[in-house]
Amino acid sequence: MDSIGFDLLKLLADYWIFLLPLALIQLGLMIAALIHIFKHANYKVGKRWMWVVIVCLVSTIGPIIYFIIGRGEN
Amino acid sequence: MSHYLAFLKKEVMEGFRTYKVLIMVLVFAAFGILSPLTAKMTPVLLDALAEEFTISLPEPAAIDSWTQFFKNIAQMGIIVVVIVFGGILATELSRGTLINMLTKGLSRVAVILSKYTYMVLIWTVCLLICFIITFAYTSYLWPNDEVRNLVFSVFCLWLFGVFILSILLFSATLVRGMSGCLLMTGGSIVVMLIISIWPAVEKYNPLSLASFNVQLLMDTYKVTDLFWSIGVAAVLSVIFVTTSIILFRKKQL
Repeated sequence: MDSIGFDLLKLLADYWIFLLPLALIQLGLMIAALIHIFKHANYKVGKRWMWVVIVCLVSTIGPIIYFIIGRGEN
Repeated sequence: MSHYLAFLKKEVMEGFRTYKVLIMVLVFAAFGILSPLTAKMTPVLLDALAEEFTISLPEPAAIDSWTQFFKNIAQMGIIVVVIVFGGILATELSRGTLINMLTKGLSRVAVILSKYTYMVLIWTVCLLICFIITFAYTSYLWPNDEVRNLVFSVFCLWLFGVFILSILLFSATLVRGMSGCLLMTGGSIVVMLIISIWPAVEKYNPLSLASFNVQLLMDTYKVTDLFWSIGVAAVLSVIFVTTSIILFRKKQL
């Protein structure tokens, strides 16, 4: 990591005040989306496994896309 | 009036149920955190990535944080708002749930007005949350830096959002689908961008409300220069909402 000039731990130590709330927002969105996915069987587009993958792997944007495009009507 | 309040309550409830309010609040909160973070990290990142040639960048200051704030909200923030509210009429019309209520005597004026109030309400809350977060970080990181006209500058951005929402409402009553509504709103922003090339109109262009915010903070742009834009945006918003009401009353559902 020396080649880039800073290491991850120092970054975390310096910027935790930003990164912690951002991580919480990201986690909150992901959990809300996952709960919704497992409570509902029908989606406007796609299948359950597809949305689980998208929500878990695409940070922040994934859950938002799910709620806007994928969320089915009850 | 009772129709208006009842429908407004229903809109807000629906906003929570469909997770729209949650998404908006979280996205704007993220913008609020990202703006000071970007301001603080840009020199560090550039320094680390370009080691062989030294770039001498000035120390980040509060103004950089606010530059990021206004850039994020005026671009991404407005886009998020427009996309989330794009289906404000279209979804209910296509599902047919609105027709039931209208035939049972719900006033059409109340529908339009409460939808507009709901959108402005959410926009205001989101902008306020984002502003408070950025303000907290900025005053923590750069306690000695002072910026001018901050509240006025944020007010201008807020008014620009209110104006865009009135265009969105107007488009939603004019065209049927959600995509048409988004296209029309986007088109009107493009028109304002094209007009802004012409310096004589700059004074009256509502887009100035979202493009001179940083200059306002640095006092290189005078507060009084924006009064015409504020007036034009306010009058046009009223005209758009009134026209939406007239159009929606005559609309065949």
